[in-house]
Formats: sequence, C-alpha cells, structure tokens
Amino acid sequence: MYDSLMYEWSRWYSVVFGASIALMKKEDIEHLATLARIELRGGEAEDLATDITSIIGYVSDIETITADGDVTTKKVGARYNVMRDDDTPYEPGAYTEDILEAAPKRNGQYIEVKKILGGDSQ
Amino acid sequence: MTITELRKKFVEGSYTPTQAVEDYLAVINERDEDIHAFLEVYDDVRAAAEAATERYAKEGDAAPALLGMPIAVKNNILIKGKKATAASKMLENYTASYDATVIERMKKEGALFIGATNLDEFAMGASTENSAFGVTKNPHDTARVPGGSSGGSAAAVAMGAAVAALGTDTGGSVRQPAGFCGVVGYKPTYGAVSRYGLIAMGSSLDQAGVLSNSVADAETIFNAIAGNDPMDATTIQEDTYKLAPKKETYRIGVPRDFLGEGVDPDVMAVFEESIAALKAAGHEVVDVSLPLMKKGLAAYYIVMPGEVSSNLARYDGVRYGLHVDGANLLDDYLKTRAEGFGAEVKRRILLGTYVLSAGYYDAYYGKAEMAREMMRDELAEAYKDVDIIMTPTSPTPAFKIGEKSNPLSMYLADIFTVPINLTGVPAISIPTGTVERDGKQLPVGVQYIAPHGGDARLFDFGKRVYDNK
Repeated sequence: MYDSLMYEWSRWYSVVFGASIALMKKEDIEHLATLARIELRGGEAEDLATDITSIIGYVSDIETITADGDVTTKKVGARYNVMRDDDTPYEPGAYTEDILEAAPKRNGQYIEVKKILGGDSQ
Repeated sequence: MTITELRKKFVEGSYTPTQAVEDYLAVINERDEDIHAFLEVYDDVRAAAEAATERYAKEGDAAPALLGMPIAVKNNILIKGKKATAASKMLENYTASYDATVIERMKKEGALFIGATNLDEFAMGASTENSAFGVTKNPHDTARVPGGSSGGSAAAVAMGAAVAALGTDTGGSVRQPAGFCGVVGYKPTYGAVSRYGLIAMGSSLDQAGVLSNSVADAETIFNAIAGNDPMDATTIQEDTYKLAPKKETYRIGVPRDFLGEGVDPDVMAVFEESIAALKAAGHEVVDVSLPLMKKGLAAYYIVMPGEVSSNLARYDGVRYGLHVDGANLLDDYLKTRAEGFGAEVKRRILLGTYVLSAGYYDAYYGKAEMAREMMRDELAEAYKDVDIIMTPTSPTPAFKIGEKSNPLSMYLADIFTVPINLTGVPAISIPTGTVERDGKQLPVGVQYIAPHGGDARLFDFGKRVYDNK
C-alpha cells in the first residue's frame, strides 16, 4: 500500500515539478488498457510499458514551454458554433438499412448486444 | 503522365480513358505483386472508363475537369459500396455505407477510381509497414519503405499505376511518402477540404491531400474537392483567412535553427541546391527563426494519441467492423479491440488514454494545445516577413524495411511535417533531386509552407519551381 502510494506521489511530483519521468509499470499499462477496453495478451503489457515510458520521456519536453502573455488555447478550427438549420435533414429511415447492414448482429430494426443487467450473458 | 497531358489527349481523342485504364491496369498487373501498393483493384473501373470515353466523344473540352482520370484512393477514405479497411483487421470486412465528400466531389468531376491503396493501420505510421495486410515497397528500391501512412498512394503514383492519388495527412502522411517516392504531395490548409467520410485519426489534424505527378495536377484535384461542407463543421469559408496573394517573386524563409542536427548530409546538400536554384530564379531566400517548431513533435505525440484514443473508442464490435464474442458485453469489447487493433494502434490508444487521464490532462494535452497556439503565433510573426517557409520534407531519404524497430525513431521521420498539421497551414512536398544509396537513386522532397489559406500561393509557386522548370 505504502509503495503504491509513494509511486503515485512520485508520478504526480514528476508531472507537476518536471522532475525525472516516472517509469510506466506493467500494472499501469494494464490499468490504461482496462480504461481503453483492450485485453492485453502475452508480453504486450511489458512491451508497451517500455515503449510508452520512452515516448512519455520524449514528449515531456513539452513541459519546458512556458507562455509569456496571454495564450488562448483549446481552439480546434477557425470557425465556431457552426450549426445546421433546425429542420429535417433527410427522410427518416433513409439510411437505416445501409447502417444496420454493417452491424455484426442485428434483430430486425435493432442492433443486438448482450444483456448488461441481470446476470451473466445473452 | 499528368492529368494536364491526359486531358489534352482525351479531348482531342488521340488517347481515351478506356486505353488509359488498360495501360494503368497493365502496370498494376506487372508490378504490384512486388510493390503491393493496392489492397484492392476495382473491377468496375473498366465500365466507368468506357462511359467516360463516350462522354469525351460527345462533350470534348466541355467535359468536367477530372473526367476519365484514373485515381487511386487511400483505403481510409469512404467510397460507397467499396471496402474501407483502414488497413486494419478491425475493418477488414467493412463496406462503406456512404461516399466521403472528397469522393462525391471527384465523382461529380468524372474521376475514375482504379483501386484502394495500402496504408499504415488507421493511418498510424511513417512507412506503411504497420498495415495489417502486408508491407508496401518503394518503387525506387524495393528493399525500402515508401513512407507513410499514404505509402500505397505514393507508390501507386510513382510506379505509374494511377495518374494521381488521394491520401490523408495527419502529421505528414501525404508529404513524407510523396518525398520518399519522388512525387508531389499536397496537404491543404486545415478546413479547406472536408473530412466527412475520412476514417478519423486526429480530428484537429487530419486533412485529405493529393499525391500527383505535377503541382498543376494537385491544384486541379484540390479545386475539385475543396470548399465548405455542411457535413464538416471545421471546413472554412472563402473569407475565413486573409488572402495570401500570388507574387512575381517570393521571399522565402529558411528556419535554420530547426534544421540543426539529425538531417542527413546528402539530403541537406539537395536542400541547399534548391535554395541556390530559387535565388537564381529571382526569389529571395532569408533565414527565419522558428524556435518552437522543435517542440512540434513532442506536442504532436500528445495531441494526436489523445484524439486517437477518443476517436477509436467507436470500434466496439457492436455497430460495425469486427466482432469477437466474449463472455459478456465488456468482454466483447476487450476481445474485439484486442484482436482488431495492431501493435502501433494499441500503443497510441494507451498513450492517449494516459495523457488525457485525470491529473495528467493539463500537464500534457493542455500544455500541448498551448504549444500549438504559440506555434501559430510564431508562424504568423514569421509570415509578416516572408511569403513561404521551406524545409526538407524528411530528415532522411527512404529507409530500409524493418530498419526502424523502435517507435520513437519512426516518429522522428515526421519532425518537419508535424508542425504543419499542429498549426493548420498548407504545405507541399516537391521532388527535388536524389541521393544515392546502395547504388539506387532515392528521391528527396523539399517542403514549402504557406500561411493559412495560402493554397493558391503554394500552387503558383510550386508550378514555377517544379512543373515549368
């Protein structure tokens, strides 16, 4: 417990204060993979830990940039709040068949997925 | 062969789209087993060519600009009814349910689609080695990569299997392979061309681009596909940016502080020769200082994976694409994504998940977005003094297949191209000389960069230095 707390803290420290970059451990990678909904197999977690540690080390160079003055961030495009007219852009159902056709499992007009409540599966 | 040349012949009737398609298909037949530029060759192209031939006979010069032009299309751009695989197992059997805007517009101009080209999976890579369906080879030396991620499109144009090709450019994916394969590669101003129907990678960076045999051809295709699109809210209007006018001679900036170490001496020699040639042609070449550009790659490998991790969350085995059955719904996701994605895609998704996670967001993504804004300001400042900025397209010529096993060393291939996507300005890679490696002549590209909305200026300049030299 203490170890993992210290480890968390040192990672925070490195980010906040720009100190040496924390190593990604296998467990960190597994946690990220769970968040990203990817099952890791074989030696994938170990390989990714090595790669991502070195990439994070490289991109942490970004910490050396400091803005003087006012920098407006979070711009995506040159235009903002682009909206279409509030009407019917196409006939209802015009694309239903094209889209449902691409679904791995369908039941009539529905895409079929496994039950998420009430026990295991199906 | 260029679109300009084909057009002249098609109009006068000395050569027809039917003949052109047969000739390009013959090249594919002869060379593509070795090069592997194509994932699929479209068998309906012959019938379309017949129809185009008949139209030229009737309409002559009144026929639309791209009528009968055989174009190769990177397989992350949707053509209704055709497979759009993004070179991933995830979409191996996915058939596009609609046309991308760029495709719709090219169809309207009469273009023929000859086939789908190979790419790094989901356009993630700089060599086309990451494709789930095999490596594409460089037509100039088959031991080497064609660059990436639009490597198939670049190789197709370079080997003469299509008159031009569409690609996508998120961090250099049109320009870098164009440089490696000795063709023109054009990345428009962000928002000049609709992203609707492009398989998304990094949405604030992605643009469709053109690979061609001349700058005029890139311009012809750009004119066909560009323009505001209600289906992409980030597309710009004609007056979004201040006009960057054409000029008699241009003042061109070289960011020497950005070209320091890491550039191959032979590539640098070609670059210096191109500067001398520009001066001889009456242009002015001066040094500009762009200290922040060096930080571009670091910012890019934060912003891009962040957007990748969010964009690729849609591949869940439910709505389309691969589905691998698990014990429950969560297990379906885990297994589908484990089997559908390749190693580089997983690497970027996890990296993106990390940089966007609570506690790290401001230190990474927030900081990288700030860097982007500062880079835009830095460029805007430089463009008060110069009209165009130039760099080598890539620090080296095409590298060998399998040479870059470390992901970071692969990422460095994009050092000069990623700042362009981060800032959203237009850029073109122009074939400029060659360097010799293992007895083979390898092409070298020089990248020219204009201010936002300066697409017309780049075409004007490019035609003078390349098409009409």
